[in-house]
Amino acid sequence: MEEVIKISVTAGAAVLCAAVLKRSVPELALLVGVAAGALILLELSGAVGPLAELLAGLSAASGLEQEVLAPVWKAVGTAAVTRVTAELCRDAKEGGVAAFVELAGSLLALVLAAPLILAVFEGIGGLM
Amino acid sequence: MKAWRTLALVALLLPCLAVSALASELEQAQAEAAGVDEVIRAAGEYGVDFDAENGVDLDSGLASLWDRVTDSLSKVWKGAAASCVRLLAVVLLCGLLQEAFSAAGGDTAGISRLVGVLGITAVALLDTGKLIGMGRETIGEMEAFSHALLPTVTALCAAAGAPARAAAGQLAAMLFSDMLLALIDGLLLPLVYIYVALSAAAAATGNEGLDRIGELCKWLATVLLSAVLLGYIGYLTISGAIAGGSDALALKTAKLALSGAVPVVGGILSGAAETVLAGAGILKGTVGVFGMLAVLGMCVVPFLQLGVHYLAYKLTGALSAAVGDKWVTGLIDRLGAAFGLVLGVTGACAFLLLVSMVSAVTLAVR
Repeated sequence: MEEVIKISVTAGAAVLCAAVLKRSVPELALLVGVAAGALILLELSGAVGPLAELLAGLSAASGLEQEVLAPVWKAVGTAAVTRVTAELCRDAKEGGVAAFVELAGSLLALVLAAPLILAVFEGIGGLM
Repeated sequence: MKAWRTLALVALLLPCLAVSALASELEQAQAEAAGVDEVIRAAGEYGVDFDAENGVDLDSGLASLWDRVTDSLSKVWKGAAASCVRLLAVVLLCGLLQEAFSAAGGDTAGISRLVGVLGITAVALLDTGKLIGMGRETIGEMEAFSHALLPTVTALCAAAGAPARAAAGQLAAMLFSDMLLALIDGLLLPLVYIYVALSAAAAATGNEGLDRIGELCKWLATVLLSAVLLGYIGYLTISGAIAGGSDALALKTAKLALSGAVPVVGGILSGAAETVLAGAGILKGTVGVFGMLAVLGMCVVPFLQLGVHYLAYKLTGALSAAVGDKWVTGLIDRLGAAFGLVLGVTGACAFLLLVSMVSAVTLAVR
């Protein structure tokens, strides 16, 4: 609960500062946004621990190997970084760059999924 | 005086003892001629105590079946529960991954669904291989047993005075069981594997078309199995009505001919022939009950395994529908349905043998 309040306060303050700076120095407004995002992620790092433990427990119970789950975590990270980057580009009125970032993110996610697809069809072949 | 009375009593009783000894020898001879020893050997560990004279103790046979069920029940439940826990863990994990992807910007490659399918096929691979293999083994055991049992029961039915019914009923059982086994090995079990593979592929790719083809395979297997069983029951019903009448007529004619054609002793010969028929009839009933108990003994543990896993997978599918992706939970349901198909196939073989035993045991020639 406290983390959510801290994050909300940080985000609110960053938005106000960015709104003021945008009229005179738009580049600084963008940097304020990036800094606020970094602070929010830093605040989240404490909450991620219990979630990571839960996911580790579930993956152990399900019998899925780490080699299967490693591409998944990478894909989640890729999707997050792609989204944040694309939104920052749109904030900077660079819609074109945002589109390229999103395309790159989708292609990289497919590349990360390729070993999983192969593993699924090997599993199906094993059933036959 | 008392000594004379005792001697007279002994003289009256001796023939009775001789008659019962002769009857016992007759039953032993009939059992040997019909190949009952081979049936007992073929039953193996599933056979119960067999006595040609006193029959099979149905109560103790059923009690030993019940003991087998209770001994295996806890182990089967634990195995099924462990599979269900692993499946639920996979579904929950996929649900969390989907949430993570939604927050991060979307799962464009369907990665969380792929992980779900991978996890479920990994869990199911062990269960599917073990249970389908068990079904196949049970069907093989029943096939081997039926090759000894059905000819013996046919011979005893014929000896009991119903050769036409024996030919119609028991030979039909042999024909239909061979046909069913060929269908199972050549078509039905491969269809089950294809159904499972198509369901997994459909879940992995999110393709409705593959899913429908899989459902078609399942429908085809069910229809073929039902058609063979209905055909067998229909044939038994029709052939029993016709052949039963002809057997009764033939028997009456033979008795009349024997008592009329042979002077003086014709009536005695006709009575002796009736004794032989009755002896074969009793033995037929005993072998029929033995056969039923042996078939039930072969099937009871595999039925328990398949049935419990079927229910467990269905329950897991229902529970996981609340938290999981529809393709992933649908795959769990379809795997349960595959176990149900194998249960149906094994049950069909057992049903065929049991119906032929019941028709032999309840056979009465009027």
